[in-house]
Order: sequence, then structure tokens, then C-alpha cells
Amino acid sequence: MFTRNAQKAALLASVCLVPLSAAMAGDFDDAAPAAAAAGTPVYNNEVEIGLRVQSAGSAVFGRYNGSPYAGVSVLGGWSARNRDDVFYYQTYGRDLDFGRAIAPNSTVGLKVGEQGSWGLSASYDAISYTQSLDYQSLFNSNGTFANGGPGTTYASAAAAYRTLAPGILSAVQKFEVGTRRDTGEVAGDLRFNDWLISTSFSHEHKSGTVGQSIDISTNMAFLAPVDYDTDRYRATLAYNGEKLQGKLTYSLSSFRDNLTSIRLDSPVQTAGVANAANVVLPPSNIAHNLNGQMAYNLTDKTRLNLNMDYGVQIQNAVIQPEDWSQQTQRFYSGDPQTLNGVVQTIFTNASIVTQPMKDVNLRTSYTLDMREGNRAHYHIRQGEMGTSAGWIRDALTQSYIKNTALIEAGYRILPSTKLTLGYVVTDMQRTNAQVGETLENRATAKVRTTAIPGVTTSLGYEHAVRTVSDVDESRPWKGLNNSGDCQTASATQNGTYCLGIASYQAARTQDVVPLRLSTSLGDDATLGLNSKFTANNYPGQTFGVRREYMVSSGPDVSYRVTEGLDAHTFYTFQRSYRSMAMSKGSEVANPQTTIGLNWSEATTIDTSTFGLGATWKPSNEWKFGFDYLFNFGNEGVFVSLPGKGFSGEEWRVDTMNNSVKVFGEYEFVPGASLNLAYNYDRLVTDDPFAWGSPFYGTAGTSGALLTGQGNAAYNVHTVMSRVSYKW
Amino acid sequence: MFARRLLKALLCVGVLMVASTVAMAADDSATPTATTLAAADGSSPDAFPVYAEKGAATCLKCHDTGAAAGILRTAHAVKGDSRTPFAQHACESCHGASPQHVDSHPAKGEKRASPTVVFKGDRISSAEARNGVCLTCHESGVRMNWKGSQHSNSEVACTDCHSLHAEKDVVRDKRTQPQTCFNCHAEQRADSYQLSHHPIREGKVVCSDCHNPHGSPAPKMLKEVRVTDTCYNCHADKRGPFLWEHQPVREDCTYCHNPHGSINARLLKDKMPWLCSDCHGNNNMGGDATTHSVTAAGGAWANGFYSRVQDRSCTNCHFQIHGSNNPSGSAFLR
Repeated sequence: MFTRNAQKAALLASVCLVPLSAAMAGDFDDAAPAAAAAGTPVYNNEVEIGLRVQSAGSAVFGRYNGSPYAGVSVLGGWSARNRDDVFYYQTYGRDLDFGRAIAPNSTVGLKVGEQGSWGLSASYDAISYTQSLDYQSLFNSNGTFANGGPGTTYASAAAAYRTLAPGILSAVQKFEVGTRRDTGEVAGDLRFNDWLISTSFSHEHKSGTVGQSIDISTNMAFLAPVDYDTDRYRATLAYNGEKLQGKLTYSLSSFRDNLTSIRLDSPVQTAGVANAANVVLPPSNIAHNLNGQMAYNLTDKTRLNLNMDYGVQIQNAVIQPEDWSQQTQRFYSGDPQTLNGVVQTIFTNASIVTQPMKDVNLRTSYTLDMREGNRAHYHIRQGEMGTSAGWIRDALTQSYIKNTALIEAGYRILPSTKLTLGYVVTDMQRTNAQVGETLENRATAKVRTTAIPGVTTSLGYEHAVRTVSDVDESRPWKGLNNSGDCQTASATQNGTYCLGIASYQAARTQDVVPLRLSTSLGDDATLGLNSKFTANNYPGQTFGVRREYMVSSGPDVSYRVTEGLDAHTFYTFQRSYRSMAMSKGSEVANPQTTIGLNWSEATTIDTSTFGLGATWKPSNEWKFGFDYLFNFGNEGVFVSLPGKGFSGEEWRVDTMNNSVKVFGEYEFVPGASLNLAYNYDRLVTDDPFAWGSPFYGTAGTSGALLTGQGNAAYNVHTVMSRVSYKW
Repeated sequence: MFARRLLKALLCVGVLMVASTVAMAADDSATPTATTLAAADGSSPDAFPVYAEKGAATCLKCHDTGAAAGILRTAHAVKGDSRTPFAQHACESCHGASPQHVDSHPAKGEKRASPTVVFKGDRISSAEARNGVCLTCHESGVRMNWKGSQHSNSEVACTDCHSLHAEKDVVRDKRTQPQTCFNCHAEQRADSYQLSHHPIREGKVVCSDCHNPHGSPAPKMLKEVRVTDTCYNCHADKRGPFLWEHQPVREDCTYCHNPHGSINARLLKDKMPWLCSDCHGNNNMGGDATTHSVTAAGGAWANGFYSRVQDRSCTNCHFQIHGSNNPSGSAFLR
């Protein structure tokens, strides 16, 4: 049933935004089983060329496929393979765009080898990402002012929020923002007897820009330049014996940022303060990793697994100058000029799986996972340039250690029904954290049954209790609830922690109920139902996150209507709810807000995803298909301010995507086909948080000069035509 | 603290390794075959297999068309590789010695007796029996942790995902693999269709880029041993270590991101500022005098959000949220 589902579900893979490759995915592969049938030609090779016409440009529509623009593109691809007993080769090229020297989404590869002895492969892959076609910024990607800059600086008495003058907007320019990865990889393996040596090397160059924003007296969008080179090397020695298997892998990842920093001058200057930002770009770094795995079948029914991983992450980039604004922080004199940052990671795991008697399975495992920062805790002093005043802060590294122990037992209580019970204890200790230690106890139960003929049902339940200890709100990492009254008041308020604890560290109870059901409806249809409910409660939190629940549920149906006509549909509803309580600690006279002493907020996110696909093959020559995808998201925030008498829905946003595709294919001579497809894709959204409409402060308004990429909505028609020939 | 616990852990691992080495030397029983596995499963009474004399030719007399014969064009059918099924007992290497099937002569209207191991249909063998066949050869490499894995415990069979008789297995093709996984993982399928998503449906990122469906000691069957390391494979610029570290970032990217897709930009699990409020809920979002107010300037709550909270919200200012290497970056502003 699963296999059949896979073939039908693949129909919906073609509801996508990419050029020919994925849109036509499956055609060549699907032919393989049939091709082996007696009297049917066997095809090893294929070439294709296609034309793609797109009605409108959109960064969001084309963000991953390299086709964010309206217009015509000519695409092509090939696939060739052969096998002569043990010798084989395969070569392929996809999404080759003949309109551009190097297409933004192309894939080319070659594999050759002798099965059971050796293999070599080489590949090139490009992935493009378009963030925006009209990102609005005052700055070029090298940090200089676009359009010569605003020309004048604008002063204001206010320290943090300066008035924007009307003329500043004339300097804003629109940019195309996005990145592109070009990756080449070579790999090889050599096998002798039970041993396998394999190695690979890849080089990736990533270039482009990323839309960012910064606060230099006011908020401004800018383009962070991307010029990365990453080398990855991996070597593995593996052994595959009858009872013993082992693997030892060394890997190296070397990330190099060819740029170190850019300077952004604020267009809003104040006399006596150098308002410029030194934006430090991601530092070059390197990671070594040694991974070992061993498994041994102690008996036919008992298997021991040992896993080990040791990693070192090193970053020793030259420390860039501190900032030139009111954000200035500096090392104490004597601290190093390079970071000399080293992190060690250790992971060990041991597990035993056994079947001590018929119908009983046992599993136990222990896992240690730790991260240890090994560099010095540097001391940083804050103060305006040229001054010596300011507080001191330690630049810490994080260390943690996590221990997990698990025991699980499965028993087949009936021939058709298996019950599995488990218990997991997880202890997490963090340095410098608000919560020094969390301990979670989790009990699990699952029943899987086929007691009802033709119906497979799996129902589970998990209950977990996470407790906290060693809580100290004076530690450096305390959730940054570090201003206001709690620090000077008592350590607790209303009997609980005053500041609220970061949700991922807080005491929590969790209940999870997964349900999975699948059945055959006669010989021609299958029905599946997947549901999951998760509820998190944070009983110790007067402030902070207090309750969450997540629901996901929906059916999946595959149906063979008649011979040659297959249909598949699914629907999934998801809800995510989270509520939190907050406190200002004390009432303040605040001109910008009416928020009172305590307030609460709840966010509800609902999404519905529906898919319907069908293929119809009325004859060997003709094939038709239809795909429809609908996705609707709704997100609302409810706010309650008891002290101010306000309680209600603060805002609600909708996002909706409709995508329809129809296609037909005609094999006009054996092996030669003409494929015609039409795709309509529409997105509407009123979500200012997701994609951000440009926003400008107005004259006389203290505030921001946020720009950005504008509304994500699009309305795109695409027509694709492809001719392919197989032989 | 770390050194002491590490010592304990390494000691534990060392003891287990020594124990296993001793066990290795002591026991070297033969590898189970499809037939013996099936016998243990109770589906065949015969532990002394009798294979068809003519090998695959016997089977192909009936199974010479369609999907069944497709296996002849796969790596499993390469006789020159002594490890393959067809270099041994052909079809019966996997389906088990099946004289009861080959020699049976059912009356008209009745079904022929099943092969010893059946991979689909009404008389399908147990998942354990089916997987046992595959594990006879494929228990090493990425499958080393299969036994006891979530998929194994859920009685998922190799052939639920893999098509052994197809020349190209759809689950091993980047363009079609996710649809196989989505058959069971409907939540992740729905996530992948959200506005913000990894290029999964575009065929550039697939499930197995991050997950090892054959079992892993890591959470969520990840390929790497922890979430962060998995993400660093593509996002090495986030790896650092940085001068200023953001504590949750160093622990687990999924505290903030849903890698399968989200209605929120940048795969965020929730919108900012609420996402950040999960940890920074008090004073900051509560609206200290200016900087962190969420409401519109000079107005009441009902007037809407302050401009700084829109668009990139908290990261309008705290844009180095993954870590900063600037001495002035303690609040991830630089």
C-alpha cells in the first residue's frame, strides 16, 4: 500500500514552481518498470528541450528556481545511463538554462564504476535564492550610500530616536537581493572484501546579498554582502562483517568569508557623536569532526550499537574594530586581537536492542551530548567613543551537558497487536544560564494493531514532566529580562520567578497523542489518517510562556478510478496556539504605550493545506495530468491589558496560495514525446510581519526608516512546453 | 563538572566496547538467510532450504512481465557482483527458498501457495521478516542503527519506501523522494507547502539531506548527531564560535525555526516579537520607555504596532541574532 501511495503521491510533486526538471519529475523514472516488460522498448537515454513562458515577475514565486522574472526561457536536460554486468555509468544534466551562461538552478553529474569494486562521481549543483527584486535601501552592498546619500545630515536632540527629514527618502534605491550557491563535488569509493573506503571533496561558493536592517540612530535596511567559500572533505573507512559492522569518518568543514566587515554611516548625525556602524560579517571558521560507529550482533536477537562523535570548532578571525556609535563596546586592553575561539563537542551513545523471548522486544540506550566553549571569557567595556565610562560585560561561551537514558519494551499482546512502553530521562545542565539544570521524565506508550482486518492503527501517548533546579536570575544569561524592577525587588513575585524563564528552560508538562490509521477501501483505494496533538503547560510561570498546544490532522486518499486513471488527494489542518503573560514590573509614564503592569498575549496560527492530483493515461501514446494545491494560513493575536481595560483581538493576517497545473503528453513516435503544461499560481497575503511593506518615518515623527522588499503577493501564469526523445 | 561526567561516559563506552569485543571472539554464527529468518518468523516450517534448480529462470516463467521483471535491470540482478541476490539464489535470495510455491498445483480458482517471504499483497510477511531479508546484506553503513530506530519500532519495512523491482527507486531520486516520506509524515508535507519553506518541493533539498531514515542515535533521526551540526552543513556561517553567543542558538536551531516550513518568514515558528518573547517576555515587550515598545508611537495599543516591530521586527535592530563577532555586539546589534 505504501509503495502504491508513493507513486500516486508523486503526482503532487509536479505542483511546483520550478522549471522543467521537477515539474516533469517522474516521467523518465516511471517508465523504467514498464520498460522491462516483454515487448516494450527499453530506454537508457533521454534528451529534452523546453520552452517556458512566465507572465509576471515575483521574487517570492521564483525565489528558489532562478526564475523570478517574467519572460521566456529555454531549458534543457539529458540523462544517459548504461550497465554492462558490473560496469555502469550514468550522466545527467537538469535545468540547463540556455539563456544564461551558467543557469541559476542547474545540476550536472556523472557516475561511473564497477559494482562491488569501485565508484567515482562528479557533480555540479547550483541553488539560487531570490529574496527581493526591489529591496529598498540607502546603502549599496559595500556600505556606501546609494545615489550619493542624503546629502545632508539631520540632527536632533533626542539621543536614540532622531527625526527623519523628508529629503532623506530621495536617496533610497531599489536593489535585487538574493544569493546563489555553486557547488562542485567529487567522490570516490573503493571496496575490497568487507571493507569500504570512501572519500569526497566539495567546494561551494556562495555569492550575493542578504537583506538586513540595522539601528544607527534609526532603523535602516541594508544589504549584507555574501562572498563565502566553503570546502568540505570527508573520508570514511567502513567494515561490514557478518556480525560486526563499523565505520570511522573524518570530516572537515572550512568556511571562509572573503569579506570581514562593512561600514555604514548613519544619515542621521548628532554633533559630537560619530554615528556609524561597523557591521562585522560572519567570521571564517573551521570544524573538524571524527565520527565512529560500531555495531555487533551479540546473538541473532541481540544487537549492540556504539556511536561516538568528537568535534572541534575553531574561529580565530581578527577582531574587527568596535563600533563608531553609541553602541560602542571595546575589549579591555590586553585582550587578544583575534578571538582564539574553540568549542569542543562530544557525543557518545550506547544502545542494546534485544528480543529475549518471542514477541518481546527490549531497547535501552544512554546518550551523552556536550558542548564546551574553551576560550577565555573576555571582558568588554561599554562607553561612547573617547570616553572611559561604562559598565563591564563578559563575552561568554556557552557550555552544556545533556544526558539521556532510555528504556523501551515492546510486547505483542495479540498476534495482531503490539504494545510498546518506554521511559526516557533527560538531564540538561547549562553554564551561566538562568536555569542551571533541567530534568525531564517522559513516559511513552504506543499500541499498533491490525486487529480490524485491512486496517492498521497506531495510537500513542506520551507524558513528560520537566522540572528545574539551580535557578539563579543573576547569572549572565538570564533571558535578558535585565532591565526594570525585578533586579532590585525580591527574587520572586507572586511566589514564582519574577522575570519569567526562557520557555525552552522552564518547567513544563507535555502530553502528546499521535494517531495513525491506514486502510484499503476495496482493491482500488487506500485511506490514511495522520493526527497528532501536543500540549505544553508551564505551571511555574507566572510570566513568560504559560501554555501551548499544537494540532495536526487530516486524511489522505489514493484512488484508482479506472485502469489508467489514478487520483490522489489530501488535506491537513494544523493549529498552533501559544499564550504568555508579561509584566512591566511597575507602571511607568510612557508616552509610547499604554501597557500596564501586567498583560497577556495569545497567538493562534491555523493552516489548511489541500492537494488534489490525477493522472490519466488513456493509451500508450497519451497522458494527461491535473494538480491543484491550496494553502491557507491565518494568524491572530489576542491581547489582554486588565490594567487598561483593553481585551480583544489585536490583529489578524491571512495568507493564501492557490496553484493549479494541467499537463498533457503525446508520444508521437516511439520514444519521442511532446509535453505541454500550464501552471497558474497565486499568492495573497496581508501579513506585514512576514514580508514587510516598506515603511518610512515621516517628518516630525521620531522613528524608523524601515524599507524592505514589499508585499509578497503574486499572480503568475506559466506555460511550459517540452520535447523529449528517449532511446 | 564536564570532565567528571565525560570520564564516566567514556568509561561506560569503553566497558561496552570491551564486552562486545569479547563477545565477537566468542560467537561467530552464520548470517541468517531469508529462509531462516522467515522460519524464525513462523512463516515457514523449513529451516533447510531447497532452492529452485534453475534459479531466476524458474520464476520468470510466470513473472516475466511488468514490475516483477524490472529487477533484472537493477543492481541487485548483477551476477558479476558476488554479493548480489542474483549471484546467489536469484529471486529466492530475498523471497526465500519456496518449493511450496514453485511446486504447488492449485485447483482452478485457488491461489498458489505463497513464497516464503512475501513483500506485498494479502499474504504479506511481517515487517520483521521482510526487513530481515534486506538486513542480511544491508546492515552496515547508514543502516547500522536501524534496529531499535523509530521506523523499525513502528514496523516500517524497507519495501514500504524502496521499490526493489524498479530500475530507479523513486525514494533515491531527489525530485521524488519527499513524496514517499510524506505518505506518512503528513504534517511535514503540509509544512513544506507553507509560504516559507526549504526548497523541498523544488527538488533542491530532500529529507535525507538532514535525516537518516535508517536510524540514528541523534534526535529526530538526524544524519548528524545534533540539530546544530545538521544545519551547519549548509549554514556554516552560523557556526562560529562567536565572540557573543546567543545561548539557544548554540543549542538547537529548532527552538526558533521549523525547518520543514512555516507561515512565518524565515521558517520561524512564531512571529516576532512574540517568538522572542518566549524568553524575553517581561520588560522588553512590556514596553520600556522607548526602545522596546510594541505599540505605535504616541498612541494607544489599539493604534497598532510601532514601526520597529514590523517587517523584520526584533531583528530590525538585533540582526546578528545568530551571534556577533563585533566587540560592540553584545546585544547582537552589530
